Amino acid sequence: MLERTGGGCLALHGEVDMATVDLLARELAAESERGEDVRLDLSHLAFIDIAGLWVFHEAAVKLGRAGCTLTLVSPPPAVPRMLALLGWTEIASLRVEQPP
Amino acid sequence: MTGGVVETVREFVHEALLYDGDDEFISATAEFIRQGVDAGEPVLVVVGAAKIARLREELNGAGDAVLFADMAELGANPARIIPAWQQFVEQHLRDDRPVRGIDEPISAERTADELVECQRHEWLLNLAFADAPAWRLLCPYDVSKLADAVIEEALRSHPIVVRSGERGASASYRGLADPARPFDLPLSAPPANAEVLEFDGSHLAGARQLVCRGAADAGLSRARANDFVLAVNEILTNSVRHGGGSGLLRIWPDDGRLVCEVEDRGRIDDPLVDRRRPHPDQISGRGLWMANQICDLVQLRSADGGGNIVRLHMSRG
Repeated sequence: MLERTGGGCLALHGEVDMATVDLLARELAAESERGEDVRLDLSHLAFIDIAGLWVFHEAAVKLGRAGCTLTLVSPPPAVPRMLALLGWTEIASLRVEQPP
Repeated sequence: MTGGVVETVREFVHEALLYDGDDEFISATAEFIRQGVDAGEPVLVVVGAAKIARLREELNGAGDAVLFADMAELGANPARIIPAWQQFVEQHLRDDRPVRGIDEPISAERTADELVECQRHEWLLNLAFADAPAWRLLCPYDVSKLADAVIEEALRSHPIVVRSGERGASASYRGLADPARPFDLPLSAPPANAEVLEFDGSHLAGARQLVCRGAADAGLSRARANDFVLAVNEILTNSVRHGGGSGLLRIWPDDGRLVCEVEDRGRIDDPLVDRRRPHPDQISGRGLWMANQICDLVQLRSADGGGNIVRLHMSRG
């Protein structure tokens, strides 16, 4: 599901629901094991369910333990709103970046 | 109220205040608030904005220590009110000092569906705080505007009733037994023009498209449509994972709203399932709670013989 783009960024395309969430979890877990910050471009994300947001949360917690961060770049507006409702914006290693 | 006698509460006390018009509302609730303020108790008042303004005026500075919240914001969907009380109680209640609150979810402006869910909320309060430390919650009912049947249900859902300054036990209080009744009453039948989709785990993307189209036809904004799609998707996912793997999605417009109903073969045993704030580290069990944070109204029915119905309402906003 993840595609490497320029500038050390990964892009997540399409729809994340119960049919695809396990694939996202595996791919993001693999990326999180490199001991580097992960930047995830969400500008082409069409849909993500709560289990998908949980995958972000899990990856950010794991990255945080290694002193790294997960940055969600250009997410659809619902993503930061839902993360806040779920209480997942308190994690220092999970960042949201909206380019101006 | 019992001649202004301040009693020490030893358990959760859930009282209905039957008042006749706004003037009595103000005098009775202001006295209840002053008693709390004088005793150093934290007080949260969740009522309509106009009443908040009048109460602030009436309390004349004594209200500075009181927290107010507009029912139209906090409790438009009544399933959001219990989590708010839980948060207030957790933050403020101490062994040596109770707290108190006022909660007026029921007004004549509520739709029939909202009224039923408000009544369910009132009943669930007894269950939600049955094992909680002592605190007092007063629920005002305007007898000059509400139907007799609404007042009768208030007497069944509140162990204590206050009327014309007299405070006593409610003879018709239902108690904690049989949590479902009378809320296992069936919902109104979906209209004949409802679109119906038989779904299993392979149909979620199509179901989301159907909701998206319905939302556009009903005139929902893009943001509200997207939020609604997310809420419906969570309920569908619950059905696939926990409700027998498949079910029926029905969707129809209703007077400026879009309604989606998900029916499956699951069974819900916990009456408070949709209003427990999930712990941030909890891996699942968030779908119904999130649906309540997103939607204007969520109606949950679980039949004894199995079979859940979750009906979600989203207005144009």
